[in-house]
Parts: sequence; C-alpha cells; structure tokens
Amino acid sequence: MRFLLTAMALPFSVDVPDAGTAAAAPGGEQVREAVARAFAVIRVAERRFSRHLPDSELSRLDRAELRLHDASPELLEVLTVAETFAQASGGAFGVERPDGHLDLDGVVKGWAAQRAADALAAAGVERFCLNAGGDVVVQGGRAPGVPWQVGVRSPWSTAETLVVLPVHDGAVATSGSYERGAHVRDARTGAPATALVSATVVADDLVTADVAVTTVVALGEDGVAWAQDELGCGVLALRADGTVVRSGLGLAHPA
Amino acid sequence: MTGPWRGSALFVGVAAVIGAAAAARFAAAEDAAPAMADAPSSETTTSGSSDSSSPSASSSADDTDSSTPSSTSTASSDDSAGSDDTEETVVGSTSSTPYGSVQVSVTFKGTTITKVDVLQAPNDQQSDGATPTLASEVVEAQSAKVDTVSGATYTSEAYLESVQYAIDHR
Repeated sequence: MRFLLTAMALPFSVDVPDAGTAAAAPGGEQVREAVARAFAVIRVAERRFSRHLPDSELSRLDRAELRLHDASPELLEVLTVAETFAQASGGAFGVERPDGHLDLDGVVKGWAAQRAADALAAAGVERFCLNAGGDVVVQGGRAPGVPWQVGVRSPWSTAETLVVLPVHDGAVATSGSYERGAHVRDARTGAPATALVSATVVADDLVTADVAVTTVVALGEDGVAWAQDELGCGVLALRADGTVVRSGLGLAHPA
Repeated sequence: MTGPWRGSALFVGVAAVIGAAAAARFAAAEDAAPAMADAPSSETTTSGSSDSSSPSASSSADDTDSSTPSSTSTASSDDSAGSDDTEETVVGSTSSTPYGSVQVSVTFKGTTITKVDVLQAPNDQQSDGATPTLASEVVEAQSAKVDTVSGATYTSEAYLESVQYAIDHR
C-alpha cells in the first residue's frame, strides 16, 4: 500500500508492503490509521517549526515573543539536537543564518519524518519505507531478511540513480547543491560550502543522518571521515569534479 | 586516480544509464501519471483491490498555512502490474564519467532486464576487462530494483521529473 502527503512543500510517501500470508502483519485498516497518524505528526511539526508561518512557535521564538521557559518540549528537543550537533561538528553545523535569524530547517524535516516513522512502528506497522522529500527511513526490510533498495539520486540528472544502497533498517539522507544551489553554509565562517556537490549518509535514525549529511557538506571532504569517526555513519560523497569519496558503506559494488 | 576508481566511475556510468533507460521505458509505458499539483486537498486515500473507502487524514481541519497540505495516495499493485513478455530494447542516454562516455542498451522482457549491451565505454585499457563483467553484474543485481530514492530535497519540478515520482505513481 502506498500513501502520499504534501507538507512542508515536500512530497512524503509511505510504502507498506502487502501483508501476504503473514498472519501477524497489520491489516489494511490498521495500516491506514497508522499512516494517518504519521502524517498528522508531520503536519503538527510543520505548524510548530515553519519559518514561513508567522505564528509558528519557531517564528515567535525568533522574534523573541516566546521565552525558552515557555517553549514546547518538542521545540526544546529540536534545539537540543541542534546544539549537540553544533558542538560535535566544531561549529560547522549551526542553526543561525548569516542574517541572525533562527533556521531549524536542517533538523526539523528529519526530526519530523523520524517521529512519523516512529508513529508507524508504534501503531504496529513493522515493515515500511518512508520518503520525506528525499530523506528516507526504512524498517523491517522489503520482506523478511530482504533489505530495502535505496537509490541515491544522481546530482546530474533527476531521472538517474547513482548507486543503490541496500538498507534493512535505518535512515538515508542526501544533501547537495544541485537542487537549490550551495545553500549549505559552513556555520563557522558563513561561507557557502562548495567542495562537495552531493553527500549521502546512512545512519540508524534520520535525525542523525539529516544533520550529519548537512555537516558533511558544510565541512567538505573532511566531513566524510568526521561522520564515520564521530557518528559511526556510512557516507558517500561526490566532489565537484565528479569523483567519489566513500566510507563505511560496505557496498559489494564500488560506487 | 588508482585502478579501482576507474572501474567505479564506469560502474556508476553504467548504473546511471540503466536507471535512465528503465525510467524512460516505464515512463513511456504509463499513460496518465497524475499531476501532483492538481491533487485534491486534505485527503489520504488508498485503493486496495476491493476497497472503495476513502478515510481522511485525522488531523488539521484548521490548516490555514501557506504550504497547502494536500495529500493524495495511490496504491501500488506491486510487481504484478504491467509485466508482459514482450521483449524491448531501450538505448540509454550517454552518461559522462570523468573518464569518458558510457552508453548502454538495455533489453527488457516485461519488467525484467535480460541483457545489457555496452555501446560506448571509456577508451581505457583498464576498463577492457571490466566492461563485460560490469554488464553481467548489473543484470544479476537487477532483481534488486530501487524501492525509493534518496536525494537532496526535491523542488516540485525536480520531483515531477524524478525516479521517486515514477515509483510513487506506478
């Protein structure tokens, strides 16, 4: 069964393999309810964290109309995650834009999508593939013991796949300058990061994968070793000249 | 650059062209992919084989934000849809690798790739041995079809052109 949602101006899709003959697998109605809950999680996160909604909690915090003391647990959680990664990346990852405004986009999409995936699992859907505008959370494999095949988009063409990563459980996030230009900045200097045209991180959860991949791009080539050493993630990155840097992916075929 | 990287670039080129050929072949086979922009608002639906109910998502009757949280869904009838036994060969686009151009033709029988012919490969003595092996590796690995695509955040235009869109609407 496949479900689509548009939120945060992004396509979200959920793929739940048909139950087949597995007696314990959730039925169609249960899957629909679970997905509805997961989509609700995403919508709530959007209302809370959108920079584009003037009355979102984020916007109010940014205008100092909200004290941290009064912030929701969710906002505090996201801010804590952001601060943790800012420290771990030596400041290369940050949530303050050059103009001084607060920007949690680098954390929120992954955080919301991971919470949505958690909601699916909590509602009894143990095997699914969730794609949040290019960020992926998978669980349970495509079938028992069969990993999900996660393609990585080519930076040079939307219709082409660069490599396919088999992932049974986990998260895959990709960042690059090929969609929206060099929008990732090294927060230490404020300068756009351009050494890597694309990076993909495989991690246990999407918050880690999302923040890690943003940091990898911000750090440039040093980021690949950083993500593997500091976070234990697998990384695939493309330099601007088209050559590949990879670490910790254990792929059978070379990238 | 050492030897293994040349093979890597070739494999990437071959895999990329396979992907393009497959996407082109299946996009051509689909008649009317629904346009995301025209999707009805605020409804999550599935169409199982015998199910006509359309429950709506449980939240947000109060969606007044500007990002138009419309939702649609389609069911995938998975591997059974569209598999016929006609054989069709698709010539893939030419893909550039740092070492030269790669172009393959891919033969499909139904939805299965049965053969890959390398039409162009970088003119490099180190790839001579690699080319036939890579083509056969791709055919063997082909049963591992792509379930989803990770990419930098899709703009709406890019999404509509992407492999992920094809997956979401097949």
